[in-house]
This record gives sequence, C-alpha cells and structure tokens, in this order.
Amino acid sequence: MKRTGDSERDLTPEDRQLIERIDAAFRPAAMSAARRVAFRAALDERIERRNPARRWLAPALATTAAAAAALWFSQPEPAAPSLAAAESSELYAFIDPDAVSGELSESPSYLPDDYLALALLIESDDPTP
Amino acid sequence: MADVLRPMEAEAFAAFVEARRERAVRVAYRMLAGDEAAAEDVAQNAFLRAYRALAGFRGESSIDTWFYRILVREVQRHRRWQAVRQLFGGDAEHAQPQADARAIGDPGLRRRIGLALARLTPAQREAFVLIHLEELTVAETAAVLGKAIGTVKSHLHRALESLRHELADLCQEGRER
Repeated sequence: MKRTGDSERDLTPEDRQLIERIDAAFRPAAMSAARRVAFRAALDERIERRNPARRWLAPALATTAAAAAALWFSQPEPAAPSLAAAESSELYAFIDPDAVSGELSESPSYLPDDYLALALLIESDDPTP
Repeated sequence: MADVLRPMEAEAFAAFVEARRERAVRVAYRMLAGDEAAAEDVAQNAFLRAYRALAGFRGESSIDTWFYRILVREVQRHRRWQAVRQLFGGDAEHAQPQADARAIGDPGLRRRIGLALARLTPAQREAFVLIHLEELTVAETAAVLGKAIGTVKSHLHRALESLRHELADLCQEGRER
C-alpha cells in the first residue's frame, strides 16, 4: 500500500495538522515482546480450536459411509419367491398339512426305503383272490 | 507474496501475521474508536479468517487489499455484535470507547479523539481511517470497502468536516504554529 499524496486528499495545512495530531495521539501502544507472543499464542489457539473438529469430522464421515456400504453389500440377496416353489406340495404341507396328507400317504415314495420294503413284502404276502 | 503463501506453510503464515499484526491492530483500534482489547480480538479473527481463506486467494487484488477487506468486515461484524449486546443486554461497558492505559500519548486528547471518531458514521470513520491515517489511496480504500470511489470521497469529505468541527481547537493550534 502506497502513501496517499496530499493532492489526492486535497488537504489544507490546517487539515494536515489536524490529521497529524489525530494520527500521533490516537494509536495503540506498540506491542511488547510478551504481548506479541500472547497475540500469536491466542491466534494459534483459535486456529487449533477450529481444526480438530475438521480433523475428525471428515474421517468419521468417511468411516460411517464405508461401514454403511459394507453392511449393505454384505447382506444376502433376498430370494425372489418362485412360482414353482409356491406350488410345490411341500409348501402346501407347511401351510396346511391336512390338505395334502392324503396325497402324500398315497404315494409310495412318501415312505422311507426300509418301510417301503416292508410294505412291499406285506402287500406281496397278502392272499388276495 | 501470494505465491509464497499458497502452499500455506506455518512459517509463511507466521511471516504474514508478523508483517501485518501491528497495523491490523491499529486499524481495528481506530475503526473501533479506541477499544484496544476489541481491536486485538478483531485482528485475531481477521488473521484466522485469512488463514482459512488463503488457499483460495486467487491474486486478483493485492494481498494487502484482500486482507484489509477481511479486517474491515471483522470490524463491521464486531460492531454489529456490540450493537446487539447493547440492545438486549444493556452492555454499558462497551457503550463508549475505553481510554486504554497502555495506549500512547495524552489520555484526555485520546479520549476526545475517540469520541469524535465515534460520532462519525461507520462508513465515514472507515474512509477517514484508511485514507488519512493509514494512507491508502482512494482507489485502494474503495476496493477494501467494496464501494464506489465517489462514495468513498463523499464519506471522507463529511468525516473531515465533522472532525474539524469536533476538534476545532486542534485545528486552531495548527493555525497558530
């Protein structure tokens, strides 16, 4: 910043005198070394006071976003219910066992292998005319 | 200077503060009509804002113009906050400029000048302090204050007129010498 010429300010000698008096009398005392240090320390403290919030805020937000993304992708895909499964007799049995008990009992495959073998043996021994 | 500060190293910022501290406090002191504690507080806030904004300084104006613009805004912010406190809290402590024991010169004269400056409008005081006391050009002052050159000249003229009236005896002393 350069000094302003009097021509630009258009000052009379009285005005110049007045301004010089104001300039000389109305200024703070020059800072002592202790005050300079205190000023700098207070400024550093203000800078530090605002910085910690910024230091942890960004990583915290990033971590939260990463955790949310990991949680989202780690969940299994919800299986779409298939029409075939819905129509299967096992599903109907689960919903209403009585509704399909007859059908299942009539099927030879319904019995386990050992019981099926016994059933076949009994049936073959049956002396039907 | 801007190129030096762009990497925003601690040493560069320390040099930036060191080079402007005294003047920043003095400008704030004069614009706040003699409240030295408030002036230091305002200057620190201005440096803090400058620290945070220096990375975005594009060098479109001189770094001094840029910094003094920040400083003047801080002064204005402080003044608004002070007005609010006076309005709602009856904060009489800051109602009048304080005669600071640490300041130099005649305390009585300093108080009179403080009161005379306090009677100016903020815009007149800003123009007077920057041009007549801090010796910025009218164009630089207009850039700092974000006002037209003609507006600044008008504020300056009225400020000087008012101070001539308020401090007439100082003008008389000048005439007698």
